[in-house]
Parts: sequence; structure tokens; C-alpha cells
Amino acid sequence: MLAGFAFGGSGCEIVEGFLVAVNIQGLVGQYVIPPTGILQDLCTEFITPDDYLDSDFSDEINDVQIYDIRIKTEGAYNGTVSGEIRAMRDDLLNPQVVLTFSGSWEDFKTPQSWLQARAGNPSHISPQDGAIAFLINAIRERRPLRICADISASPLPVPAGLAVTAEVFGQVRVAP
Amino acid sequence: MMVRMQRRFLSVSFPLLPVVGMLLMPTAARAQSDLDKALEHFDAQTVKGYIKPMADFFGANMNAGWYHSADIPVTGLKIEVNIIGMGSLVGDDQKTFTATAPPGFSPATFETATIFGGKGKTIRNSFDTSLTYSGSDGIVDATLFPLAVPQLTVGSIYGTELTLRFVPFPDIDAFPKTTYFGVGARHSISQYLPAVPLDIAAGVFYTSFEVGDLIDFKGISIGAQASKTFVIATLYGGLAWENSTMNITYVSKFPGGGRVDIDLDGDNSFRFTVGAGLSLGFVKLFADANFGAVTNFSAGIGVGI
Repeated sequence: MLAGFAFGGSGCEIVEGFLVAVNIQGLVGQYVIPPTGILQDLCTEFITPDDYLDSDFSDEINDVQIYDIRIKTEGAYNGTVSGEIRAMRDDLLNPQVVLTFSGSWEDFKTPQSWLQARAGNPSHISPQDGAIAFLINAIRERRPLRICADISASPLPVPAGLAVTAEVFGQVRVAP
Repeated sequence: MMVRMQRRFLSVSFPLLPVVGMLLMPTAARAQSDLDKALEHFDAQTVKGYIKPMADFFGANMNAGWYHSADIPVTGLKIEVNIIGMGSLVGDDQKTFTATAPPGFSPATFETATIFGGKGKTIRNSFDTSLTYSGSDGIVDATLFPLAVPQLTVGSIYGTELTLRFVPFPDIDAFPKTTYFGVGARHSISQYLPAVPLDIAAGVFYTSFEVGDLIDFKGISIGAQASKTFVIATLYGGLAWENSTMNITYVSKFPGGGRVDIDLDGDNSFRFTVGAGLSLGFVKLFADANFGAVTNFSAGIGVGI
């Protein structure tokens, strides 16, 4: 038995080609609300695969999962906010609307979740069909992405320090 | 937050004996690095389920192979050097665990692979099937989870012997400093019961295994042993209570993860041992089976007087 252990007779070996579910990080847009309360077509810089994929893993993506998209507000404001979040690929002209949102500023202090909206829970976001598939395809093809927003806050004056953040939560299955 | 990528976890799963370790190190090195990368993306809840079987098997292995006879001389010199191999059976129930899906996901839990499992499960949200979530694949394919250690036993004073296991590995390249230390003491009970036709002893054993700052394992076993020798053959057995804990510390890249510092208790709390040995002059051969929450085997070869 000892010889068997020593020479792999225990049948213990590392699985070739095992995949790890690695979190996508950095697919985030943060938008500072200007004094006018209106923000139009403001986009992040292109978020590259080096930004949103862990470089410790293989470049070959076996599968992509998106499991949530969340909107939250930061800063104190006694008003309402509404808007639209879009995603753009570097190689396509037309953006994809991801979701629209509307509610009081305080409503979004607790992040409003795509998951909750789809489950029929009270939600202040409206997910848009096709958005998840758009994001999955873009990530699978390792395309740089921009997250863009139109946001309107009222009433005026809008205090300084207000921001809206949109974040995509997902995974890629990759080999180490 | 930086994860110490030089910390290699899976060294604990491979024999510490230098010869055997060198045979397996190419595989072990890659496995350790890969497991580091996988763990980074787990939250505390997931890593507990994913790694738990390894804590169970380590505990069972660490507490195995300490003896192969209950015959402890009351006086006289006894020195024995052994190489002990252990292995724990990997059952189907140790290949999957119940993982928690992200908040709001439906279903809220799902069965997916442990480190010893196959492919990780991918689930679809009940209310929006475009949303999916996945567990990671298993990394180790094993029917028996092995370990091997050197062991020194010295005695006897008033029917008491001391057993030591010690293997230090310095910090070399990708491998962190790794230290395996075990100590045990046994005392002859049969010296007080001369009418009993069996050799009887009792003992306590303690093991510590540290791999850098990532893994810290502690195990203890307390039990009684009995044996009977027939010329060169010895039949032996024992009952023992045992406890083991594996502490894992790392920094998680899971959203909101942060520093993870968890203790995993091995499932084995009791074992029944049955074994046999051969004494061929100075050379000893022995093997036993251990039954508890984990089914475990050990075998060894030794030289001594």
C-alpha cells in the first residue's frame, strides 16, 4: 500500500482542464450628478478585458454567466432620480439599453437589483430584454465595453457629492 | 488586496516524505497554484463547502498510523524508524456540497462540486433564464486521499514510549515554509494486568501542520490499543476519540469578500482500528484499516529494535 501511495497507486491526481468560476470585476459605471441635475450620454472609458477579467487565468473563456445588475445612489438628497443605463462594445455603433430606472433617491440607497425586478418584487428598475445576451456575447468575445448613462435628478438645487453607480455581476469559467 | 500567490495549499495533500514528495512535486506545485487561484474567487460560505472534504481526509490521515502493536516493554531500549502511508476513501457524498446562490437568485441553493468533485454546476434563475450562476469544477480526482510521513518511536521507560513525526520544508521558490510536526505518547496498561492474554496500551497523539500563512491544521487523538503476537505476526486494534481542525486564511476577490479566516472541523471524531503486522528481524511491516466517519487506511515499513 505504501508503494502504491508513493507511485500514485492511490489514484489521486489533478484533473486536467478543470475550470474555475472567476468573478468579473470592474464592469462598473459611476456617474457624478452635476449641479444641473441632468447627465446625458455620459460613458465610462472603455473597460477592457484586462480590467474585467482576472489575468491569473487563461484567456480562453469557456462560458460566461451574468447573475445580476445593480443600481445604487450615493450621497444625501431629498429628491427623485431616473435614467437609462446602456452598454456599448468597441466594435459596434449601436449601444444596448440595459435597464431604465426611476424612484426616489433614497430608494436606491439599497442597491436595486435586476434579480429582484425579474422575481416580481417591488423594484425601481426595468430590465431590458436582450441586455444580458449582449453583455455575455461581448465578454465571451473579449470586447472592450463602455457603460453609459442618461440620468435626471430633481428638484434643483442638486447638492454636490451625489453619484449613481451601475454594476454588472457575473462570472467566467476559465482554466487556471 | 493581494493574495499571497506563493502560498501553496495542496502541499498538504501530498506526502511530506522527501522522496515521495519529489516524485509528486511537479503535480503538487501546479495543483497548489491552481487551488490558490480558485480559492481567491470563493466567499467564505463557498470555500467551506468546497474544501470541507479535504479537512475531513486530512484529519483522518493525520490521526492514523501511530501504532502497530500494543506491546510496550516496561523497560529496555526501543528505537524504531518508520515510514507510514495513509489514505482516506473518497466517497460520493464528499464530491458535492450545497452552495449558496447570490442574494435574490432562484434557486437560492444548489448542489455543485467540491474539490474532489467533477464539473461545477451551472444554474439558471427561475424568473429570468438569461441569468445564470456557476460553481467551480473539482480539482482532485481521487479514490483514496494519501499522505505519508516519517516516524520515530523511542522507549521504554516504565512502559512508556514516545513517538515523533517531524518534516520541515523551508520556503523555496513557489513553496511557502511548511512544517509538519506530530508527537505522541503511549503507556503500557497490560503491565498492570498480567493475567490478560493481550497486550494493552493507551496513548495520546497530537499533530500540527502549517503551510505558510494559508493553512494551519491541528489534530489530536486519544485512545486505547490491544494486540496479540503470534511468532512473527501481530494482530492489533484500537479505539480512539479524535478531533481535527483546519484553519484557512486568504483574501477573497468575491464581491464583498475581503479577508476570509475560517475553521473547518474534520468529521472523524471516533475510529475503530484493525490491523496486522509482520516482524522480520529488524524490519517491521504493518497495515490497518480505520473505520469512523471517514474510512481510512494506513500502512508502513520500519526498522528498529
